[in-house]
Amino acid sequence: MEGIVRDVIIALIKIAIVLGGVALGVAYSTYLERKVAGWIQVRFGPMRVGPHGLLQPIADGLKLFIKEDIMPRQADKLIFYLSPVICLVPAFAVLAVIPWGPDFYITDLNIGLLYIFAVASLGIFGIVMAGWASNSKYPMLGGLRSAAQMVSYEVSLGLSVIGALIFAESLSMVGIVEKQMTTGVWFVFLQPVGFVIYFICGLAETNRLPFDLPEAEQELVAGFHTEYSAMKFAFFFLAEYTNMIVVSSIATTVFLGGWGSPFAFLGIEFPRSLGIVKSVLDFGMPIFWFLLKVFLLMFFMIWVRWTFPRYRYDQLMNIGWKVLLPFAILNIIFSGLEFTLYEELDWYLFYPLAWLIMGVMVVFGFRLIKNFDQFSYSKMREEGIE
Amino acid sequence: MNPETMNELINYLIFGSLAFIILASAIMVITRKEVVHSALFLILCFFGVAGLYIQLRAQFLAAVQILVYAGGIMVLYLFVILLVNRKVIEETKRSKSFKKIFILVGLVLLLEFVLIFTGTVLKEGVKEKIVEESFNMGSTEYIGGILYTKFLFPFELVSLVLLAAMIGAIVLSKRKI
Repeated sequence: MEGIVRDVIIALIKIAIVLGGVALGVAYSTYLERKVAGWIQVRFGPMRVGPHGLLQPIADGLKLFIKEDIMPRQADKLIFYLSPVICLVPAFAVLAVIPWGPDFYITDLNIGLLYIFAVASLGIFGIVMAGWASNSKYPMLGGLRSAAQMVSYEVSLGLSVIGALIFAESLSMVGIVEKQMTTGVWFVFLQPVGFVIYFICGLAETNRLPFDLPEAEQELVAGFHTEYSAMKFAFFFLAEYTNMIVVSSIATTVFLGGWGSPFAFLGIEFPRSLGIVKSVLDFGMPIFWFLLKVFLLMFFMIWVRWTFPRYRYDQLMNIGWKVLLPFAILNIIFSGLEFTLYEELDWYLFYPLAWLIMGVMVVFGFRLIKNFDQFSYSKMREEGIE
Repeated sequence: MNPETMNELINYLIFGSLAFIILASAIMVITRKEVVHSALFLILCFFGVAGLYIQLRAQFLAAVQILVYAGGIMVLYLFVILLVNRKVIEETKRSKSFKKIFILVGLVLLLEFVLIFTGTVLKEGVKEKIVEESFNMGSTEYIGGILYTKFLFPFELVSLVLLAAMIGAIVLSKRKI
């Protein structure tokens, strides 16, 4: 019994640290977003609350707490209340298997990555139900758009990591990172196409620009959360930024070597003479590298948001089904070949050959898509369909 | 209480609550007036089934159950429900022409279950054998291995059927190709 009690307490402490850390990270990623936006648009961003506006997220949170909570008269009350929660819970539940460091994760499932995709795919219900329960036109359209978008991009998202999984030979998140540590190569170097597809789909799954059609302001006001105010709105906001952190963390784990240091190949270890400092560093440095990689990916996502215009709806669907999906499938076929080469050849032969085949594949893929497009356009012209 | 009986008790408790969730939500699915509510209860039902899979140590199946049914198919269901005019749904609900067919299908399914259970689990000694054999059947490696060796032909056949369904859907929705 004592063992169980101890395990439960340790697990609770871990959960508290991870949830608290991520909640704080989410608050400050809104700050990061606004600061980077300001930087890109040659202005300051938040400056008033605290030094350099550092207390702005906390002020925003407090403000959202005390705002009036408005409920539309025709709304389906229960679902209207539930949907922000349905949106937020999967985003947080996924954090359970993300390995922040070699000795710091809540749990390690042997179906880790599959668990993440399964749970993350539920967040969409929050958005659709929010759109439906508001009983109002704009949220409804926003919810429908989001359903179509997320279903389309989920397929490519799932397929894009399979290449990396072939090399990892495991679905466990810790197993994937450890494989990258022992072989000494991050999967992004073996699977660059998979990484690019994953990242684009990740942007679409989190409803970030250039894929934020569900909340396109000039068409749909604020999309699915038009009718939401106060804390219920904050929940959606929180879910979006948590999802950003989750997508970046998965990309870090699967493609960027997880907690591995980019200087690991130098083989430097902290000297034993440091004593307790060494053990602290050994525990802290991997977490630092993991968080740094996540931060860089988040920065990249924000950078993309403030750089690219939004896609049109038909463009969005074309990219999802006609570009990303064929490439994801081609990438799986290629990965099988690449894995065979990887087992057979030495590294100085393998890498040039693999990257050459990869280049040919990308060129071939684009040609194929272009030909298909031309074919279907000519067909449409023949039939007289616009 | 010794640990073994306690384990068994906990197992029964988990199974009982999961079974209750599944049955209760299944009943809610067919009794709700609002179709969207039915869909939500169906998701809850899928979760209960996934829980049962986890209890049977079939983690892979549980994850796939949620990923495919709850995350994929139900989203499409909801999508269709939201797109279809409410009046149409209510009118189809009111018509009773399908009732006899549904009862017939239900009876056939029930008969099938009875046959399956009397043929396998309820036979002497079979249960113990199944329990022993299925101990690590839930792992991803095992399922992957057996799908591509022993059950390769049925597996490919199923994928062919799905392909046919896909092409069929496209042909039906687009008369002019």
